[in-house]
Amino acid sequence: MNKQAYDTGYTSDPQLVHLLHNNLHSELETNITNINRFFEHCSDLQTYRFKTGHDDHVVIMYFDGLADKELMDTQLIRPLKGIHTPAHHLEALEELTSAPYIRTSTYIQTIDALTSGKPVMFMDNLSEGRAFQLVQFEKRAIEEPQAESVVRGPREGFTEVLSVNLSLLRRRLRTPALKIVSVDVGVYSKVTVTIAYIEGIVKPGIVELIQKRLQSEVLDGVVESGMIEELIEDTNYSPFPQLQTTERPDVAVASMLEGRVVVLTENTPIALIAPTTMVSLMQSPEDYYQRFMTGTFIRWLRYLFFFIALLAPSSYVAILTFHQEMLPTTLLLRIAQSREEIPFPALLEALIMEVTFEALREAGIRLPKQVGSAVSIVGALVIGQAAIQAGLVSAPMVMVVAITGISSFMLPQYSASFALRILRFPIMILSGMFGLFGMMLCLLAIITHLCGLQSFGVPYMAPLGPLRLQELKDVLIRAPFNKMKKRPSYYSNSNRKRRSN
Amino acid sequence: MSISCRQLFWMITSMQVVMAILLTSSATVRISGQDAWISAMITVLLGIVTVFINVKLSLMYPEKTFIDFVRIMLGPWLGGGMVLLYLLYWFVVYVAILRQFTTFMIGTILPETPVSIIIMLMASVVLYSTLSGLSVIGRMSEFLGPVIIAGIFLPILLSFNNLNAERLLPVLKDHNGFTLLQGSLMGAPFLGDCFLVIMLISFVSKREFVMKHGIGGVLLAGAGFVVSIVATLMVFGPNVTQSFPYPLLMLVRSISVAGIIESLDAIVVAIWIMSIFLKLSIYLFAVSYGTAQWTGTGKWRTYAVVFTILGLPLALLPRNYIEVSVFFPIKVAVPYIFPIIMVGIPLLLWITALVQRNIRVQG
Repeated sequence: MNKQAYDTGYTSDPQLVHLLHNNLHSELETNITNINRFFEHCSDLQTYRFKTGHDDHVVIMYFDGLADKELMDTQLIRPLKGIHTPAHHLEALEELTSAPYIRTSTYIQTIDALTSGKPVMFMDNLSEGRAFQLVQFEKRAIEEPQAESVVRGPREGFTEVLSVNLSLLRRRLRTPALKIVSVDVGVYSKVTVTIAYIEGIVKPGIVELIQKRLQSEVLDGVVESGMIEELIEDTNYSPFPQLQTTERPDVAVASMLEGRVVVLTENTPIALIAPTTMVSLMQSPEDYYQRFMTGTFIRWLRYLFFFIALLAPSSYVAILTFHQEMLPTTLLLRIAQSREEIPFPALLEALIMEVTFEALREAGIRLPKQVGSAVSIVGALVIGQAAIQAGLVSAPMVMVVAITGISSFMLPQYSASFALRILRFPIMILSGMFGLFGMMLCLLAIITHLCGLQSFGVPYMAPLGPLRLQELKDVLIRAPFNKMKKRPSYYSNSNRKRRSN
Repeated sequence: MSISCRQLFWMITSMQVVMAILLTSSATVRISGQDAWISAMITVLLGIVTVFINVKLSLMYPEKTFIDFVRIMLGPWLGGGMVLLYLLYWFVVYVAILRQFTTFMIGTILPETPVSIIIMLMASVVLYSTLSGLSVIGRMSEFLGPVIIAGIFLPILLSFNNLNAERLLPVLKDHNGFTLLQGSLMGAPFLGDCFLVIMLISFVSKREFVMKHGIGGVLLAGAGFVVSIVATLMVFGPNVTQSFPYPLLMLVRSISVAGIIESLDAIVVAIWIMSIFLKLSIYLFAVSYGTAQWTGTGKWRTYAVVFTILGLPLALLPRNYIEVSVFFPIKVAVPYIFPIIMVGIPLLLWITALVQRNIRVQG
């Protein structure tokens, strides 16, 4: 076995590898035989033979289910059957059909065209194939994004089909300055990853950087943009996402207008946005569609619940274990009363409940819909009344866990709430052992990490650290648009004015 | 690694304010009584003088750190020796703060936790931030500085209903100028450790504003110092204030707003930890980066690890609160460190540098 042969992603037969880069033969049957050698055991590859009116042999190869058979018939086969001149006059073909095509001269080009779904036509005495852009496969309609819903805003979401996604972007940015660069990633999957950006606004160098990172051949197949995310992010050793994800074309366009770059991956509706800051993970598209006061209020609420999601269980544990004097006496007595029969220390209690909650949450996502309701009923019992009545968990703890759980759903970015969910546990353990001191140490370590983290050269905590007072207008509040005249400076230094006036 | 002027400002403010308030208020009041706030103002002046001299000195060689320019000025032997003195001093301060902080923690919110564990935890988090580099420490100061300042002023604001101006009387009757100056010296080493700019200045990106921001940083920290002394005096009066080891903490403990907001001290202490944490990080950075420059290896991160490991057992040496928070500041910091290391030597060096430049210009 030749390792090299596998690495091409085309064939496991070392004898065939050298053929890949050969030019197509002028003999029709030789080409067909050779191509069939690559596609051994590929029963979905169809070969259709016919003759033109001039008696020239024509062969069309295509993959069933990827090529649009109806268009092939009307656009290609019928006109060809009708011509009576020698069909290898290339000009004749352009008159015959309006379907766009590319010429393939080598085997590797031909195979790439076939596997991407294009029907390829071969003719006698012609050492090239013609791959027609007649691709039509089953796809999902454009639907409302599931993970990022808004009350006000467009209902369109990205789909799995790259060309549809690009059209959604193009419809919103009618300018030639919208550039789309594509890179094929993965030895086997050869998934097209496109980088969309607005020329003149984009942070310089970032497109090249992403391209370079995409071309590092680590992956042999790309299934979802999460794999692309790991490939291009600055460091993998951080719980915080360094790329924002979105299913919404409006969010993608808005971030391109800020000078950021959108990375779309074929076969997934999740687009990546780079660079990303902590602050942008806390913003929802709706902040900008509502009145600015509403947007500001909701934003403050979100910041507040960000901290609650991160710190509620740990401060409960810390206060109960170390700083009881902080609670008003009546409240303390109430809590003490409800904890009277609990056999565990507060820390253990909190850990049990939090882990249970995370498990229920995970199970709720993974379980088939038919048994989903069973889990939610049992779950409600487990972390609800039954646990309290059994005397295993105190009622205040259930409340704390419930508030924490609800708060973590308030973050608009799903991946950011993962960071919270993970970090909650070390903070909880340290606060259970060292009170607020442990909690503060953990927080300081997290802040150090966040201040050191960078996303494509942009400090993750920008504009808070390094501080840019002007840009707090879009952080502490959502200022009215006529007050936000400039784009964020950390995304792009050039062309900072939002309008030309 | 580079920091901005604003980051320098917040670094100076946040590293000075909490330690100065916590460790020196009581001592200042012990000497100057109800006039301690005047002493505190003189302390602020002393701090400004310190930062002025040290910024002036380091602006003579803005591209270089203290380690390099002292050796250029004084030659490898004398300069090297002096650098060693400073490095040693910074390391001692790092260890002392680590220990003082632990005593503080044990005295306030963690009475039963072993000293060694607190020291180890704090030292490891400090090491983490130091290893991330000065720009990260700068960003953190900029981010945490306002929180720290709020953690000083908000509790004072909340205690407004306890304030009684009569406790400040009589003004300037019981104490003469000399006593007030003596009292002001208690806080001077703490507001004077802005002299670390001699180490930081080569990292600042736009140096034309260093003086402004340096003095501003001392002023803001000094404002916190003065206001806290005024507030504690107005709440407790001089006799009670000087009996507390940490007067401001007592003030926080006494806050009661409408019977709901009470016992804020654990939260406030948690905020103050940030300041001490930043101070430790800056000192650890200074000593490890300085040592790396002094030895010429450039591996300052290795030294940071080494100093952290060395510091742990040393921080355990002092036996109690008195040794580390009373004896060390009064017997060592006030008579020797502040006048000699923070002001005297930099002043001499500055004059030397001016003379050397004049000679160069004339020659």
